[in-house]
Amino acid sequence: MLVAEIHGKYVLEARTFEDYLTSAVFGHLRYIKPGSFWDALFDIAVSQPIELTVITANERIRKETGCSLGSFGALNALFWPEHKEGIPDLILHFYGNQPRSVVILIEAKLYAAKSSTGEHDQLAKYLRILNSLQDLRPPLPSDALALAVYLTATDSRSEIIESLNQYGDCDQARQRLFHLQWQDVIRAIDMTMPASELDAQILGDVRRFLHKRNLEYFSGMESASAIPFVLEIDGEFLKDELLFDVDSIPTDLDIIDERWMHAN
Amino acid sequence: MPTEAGKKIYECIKAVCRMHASASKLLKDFDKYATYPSISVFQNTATKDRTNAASASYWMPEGVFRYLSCKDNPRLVEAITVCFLDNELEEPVLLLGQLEYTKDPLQTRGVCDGWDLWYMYFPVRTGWIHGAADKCVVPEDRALRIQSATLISVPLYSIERAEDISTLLKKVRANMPAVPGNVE
Repeated sequence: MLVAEIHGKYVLEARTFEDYLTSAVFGHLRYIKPGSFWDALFDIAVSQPIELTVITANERIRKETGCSLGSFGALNALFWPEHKEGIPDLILHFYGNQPRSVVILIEAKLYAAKSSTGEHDQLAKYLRILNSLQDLRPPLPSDALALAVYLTATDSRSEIIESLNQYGDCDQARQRLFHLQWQDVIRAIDMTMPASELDAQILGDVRRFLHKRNLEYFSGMESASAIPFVLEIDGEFLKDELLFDVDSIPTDLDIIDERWMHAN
Repeated sequence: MPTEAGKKIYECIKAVCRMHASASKLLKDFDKYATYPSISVFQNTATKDRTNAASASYWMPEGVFRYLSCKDNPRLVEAITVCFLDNELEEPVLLLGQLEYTKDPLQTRGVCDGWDLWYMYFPVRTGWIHGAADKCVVPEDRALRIQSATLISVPLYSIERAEDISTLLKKVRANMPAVPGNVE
């Protein structure tokens, strides 16, 4: 899917379908082993202010586990795992080499808002999933450090605050729910030194795909040198091809005052 | 057989597409700098009134917009508009503004029109200066909906980074009367 779209072959309807986007991007990224890319990505994911400062997901992970995501032995990506609270889009499970694993639940949106609000707030329900990882299908270790990330195409702070309020806003909840934008994936890729040629190819493909989707941050307008220079006189080309044979036009016509065009 | 005219116009069309892509990024990044917390009045819709008819002078949108209603005071809306095409323009222009509506645009349909900022700017007032925020004279046909408005304009191609939006919005807010929800 991803490669087809890079080459301009896509189904228009699928381009607004967020599950397709999640699948195309993370279906490839799951082959990137724990390392600098994942560290870079979750260094960008930030919390809501806790005592006036924000923390990144990676800071929380380092604080709780004493290590960064890059130090884990393996990564398992679970797409649409089931739980009594709902079905999040994706769970990344970092495990191995460390005594305590890390679970990152990701709920991804493209342009839609949360599917439910109020007492059934989607993100509030997913925060509750973090408290019972053993009830997921397939189950995950209940002692894992569990965080949630809301991944969107535009700023989602307002939605996150709403969810925190529904869950019961507290510092503990704020330290578990982070926001990230699709545009940050490209930022993380640009900050990453790929560990292998295969990693470089995967990250390059994901980057090209997101670029095609215009899921990048604004970085200035195009420079004048890149814009085709067209003079008004170039419009003369429109007159190059004669629509009539001039010789066939009668010459005894009156010149008509063009003011009729502006008359009431 | 390729034609010189066709190749020239094709390069122009591609440049216009690239401009649209950059404008789309600006609209999305606007949320980060606008009033917070807020809700998009028109969700993901960025333009309207573009004809799909076979009989048309052109099909390109004349502009795009995004309006965010402040959650703490929904009548207060911050908006961005990119004007691509108008007889009065020399080049595409970016408009940023703050509007105070008479009613909550999220509750009452039709209170907020995506072209409100556009019609605060056009026809361009004599002596209007790019880069200076000023209060707008609300046109008579919009005065029942819009209580007050302030806007700033800059040439679109003068925007170098998304943070420029923040600088421009600060100028707008400094010119807006004290209303609840105004972050400045």
